[in-house]
Amino acid sequence: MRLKVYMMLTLVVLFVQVLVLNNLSISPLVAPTVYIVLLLMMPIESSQWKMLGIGLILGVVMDLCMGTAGLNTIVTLPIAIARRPLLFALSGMSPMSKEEGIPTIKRLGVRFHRYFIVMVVLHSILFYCVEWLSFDNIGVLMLRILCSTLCSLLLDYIIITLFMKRLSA
Amino acid sequence: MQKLIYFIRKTSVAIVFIILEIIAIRCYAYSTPYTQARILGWSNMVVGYIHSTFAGVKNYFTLRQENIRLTEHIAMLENRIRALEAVVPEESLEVNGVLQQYEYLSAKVISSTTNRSRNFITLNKGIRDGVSADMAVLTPDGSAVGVVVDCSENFAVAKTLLNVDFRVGGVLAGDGSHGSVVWRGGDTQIIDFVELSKYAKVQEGDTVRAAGFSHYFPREAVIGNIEEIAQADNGVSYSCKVRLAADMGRIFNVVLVRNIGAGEAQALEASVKK
Repeated sequence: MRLKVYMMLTLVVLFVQVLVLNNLSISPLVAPTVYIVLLLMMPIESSQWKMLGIGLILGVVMDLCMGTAGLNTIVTLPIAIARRPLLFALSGMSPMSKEEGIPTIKRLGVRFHRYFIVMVVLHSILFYCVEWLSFDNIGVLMLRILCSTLCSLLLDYIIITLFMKRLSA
Repeated sequence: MQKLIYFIRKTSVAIVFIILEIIAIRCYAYSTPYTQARILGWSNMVVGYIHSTFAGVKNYFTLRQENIRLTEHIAMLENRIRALEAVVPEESLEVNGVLQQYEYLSAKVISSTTNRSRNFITLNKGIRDGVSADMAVLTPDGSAVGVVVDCSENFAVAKTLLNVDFRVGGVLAGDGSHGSVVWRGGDTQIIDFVELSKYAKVQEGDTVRAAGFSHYFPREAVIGNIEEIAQADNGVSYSCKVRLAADMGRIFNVVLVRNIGAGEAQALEASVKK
């Protein structure tokens, strides 16, 4: 059941990212990414190997769809690896606890928002720094990170809210 | 053994992560000229600083030998100046900016390779110090080493004579016959001196110097000494084996030489060829 919801989530994320966001040109400063929700919504008990595999597949698929040879993979791999320690550190859960299921607002409360914001901000900073590869025009880079992060947070939150109930069922 | 297996099992995710990340960075780096330039620039900077740290330690242990070599070289130059002063009037020895053809800079080698078909050395000086591409690299005693091919702000990379893509004009000291110096791989002490006229009076032990017309090396730069002479397959020239004057595996300090008039000469040559 959960696998079907994950497949649906993947299709929605791909559709929104590739067909909508990549073709949307609101401003050069706004380029949101939503595929990070797939990593955020992975089960708590997911091993590092599983996270690395999902991160790699997600990065490669996004690179193929967005025509960015390696950019998304460079960013999703460290995010995937950092997800487990960050989730435990930000949610207050013990790594030793055998908790299973999806990280949800119902389960983590305010700490979920903390986890969600930190992950999305971290992803955005990494993504735009690697994309620009230059700190010569740091003001514009910071503005792009800020605008895109805010937009990503909003879109990611909408997608998470839509799927959270189905995933935790 | 068990500890090794335990260590690999414990760090396997991190190892695979690093390998995947390196592959991704490599793909991204070579995707566009911009990313290639930026990422390679950064990697050169990082690798350069790491190498310079290790080279500093290595240089410390060779200081004594280097000092002896430099002192001998200074003594030799002093003797040459005195000999020149004896035959040339003093007022005509004053440096004339118009006549000065070469500009010299010293640098330290922070890394070098000799085991590849295309060998390079990395130097601890870059654009900030006045280094530019096409500058000749010599040992402190004037032996040819290579030519600078690329520079970053603080470092420069030079291809050495031990590079199969590098061909430079050579001249037989004394006889004056010209040929080409080229390395075909293999022995890192021996280089080929080819296309030398069959009428050249060549003997084993003769010195091969850089031909001044190459625009890179000054005319005095020594390439090496003839070790073996053979007729080329075409029967109209000699193909000699030359023992390199510079020990490429043991170079710690170098002198960079800029041919001030090279740009003007090359531009003129290019305009004539049009």
